[in-house]
Amino acid sequence: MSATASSRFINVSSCAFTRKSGGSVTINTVQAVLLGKRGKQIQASGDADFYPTLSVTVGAAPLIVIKHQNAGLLNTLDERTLGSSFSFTSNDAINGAGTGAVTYTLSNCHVVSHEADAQHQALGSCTLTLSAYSSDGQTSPLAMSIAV
Amino acid sequence: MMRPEPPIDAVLLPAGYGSASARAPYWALAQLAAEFAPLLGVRVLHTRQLLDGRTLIGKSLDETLNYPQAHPRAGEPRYTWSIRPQDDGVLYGRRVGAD
Repeated sequence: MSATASSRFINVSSCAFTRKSGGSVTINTVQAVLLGKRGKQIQASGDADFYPTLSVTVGAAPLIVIKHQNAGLLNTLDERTLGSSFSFTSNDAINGAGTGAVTYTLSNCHVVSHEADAQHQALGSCTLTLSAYSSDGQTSPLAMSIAV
Repeated sequence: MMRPEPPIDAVLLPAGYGSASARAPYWALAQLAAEFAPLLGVRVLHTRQLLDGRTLIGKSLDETLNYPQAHPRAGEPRYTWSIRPQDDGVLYGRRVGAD
């Protein structure tokens, strides 16, 4: 039986990208997942203005950035890849994928970019950036789920 | 004889619903699961935020507030909403159509 949820998270598991065609791709060696709504900003200025005289957030387009070390995925998930969903589980710090873990699912997703980097005396890593659209323009493509 | 109410397919929560002590992602979801999972008859609780800050809880991952763009009824409401007896801003939704 699991202990009470710690309300803190450590590690990511079950990270997978389901392609519109071609099936599911497991993303292993995950180091970090960044998750945000990515607000869209509109600014306006004119004449001799130095600062914008108008700055508003007019929308949002969810963004997920995955850092991993599996360079073999660079071609499998390239910039032409369309997905039906991407999901991962943010594990509870005590119970792992059990009580306290939260699963995030991004529907209608696509690969924005997939880049590799190499560093001095450090393992090379890859950065996979995903975005998504909303089916109806009202409902976020990002869902949060827990087992009941 | 009264006809039985049709089952609830979705729940719509006002922005900020839930106790302030349950703002951490898991506890917020756990609180919602305790309250709404039995009502929806689900083993996994899925939540999605709406444009205006409200939260939609559906029976599956594919739920959206309105019919999706690719659907013949695009933009039309997917549910009919009713205020629950507690009148606390929570709405119970029943699907308009089968899909």
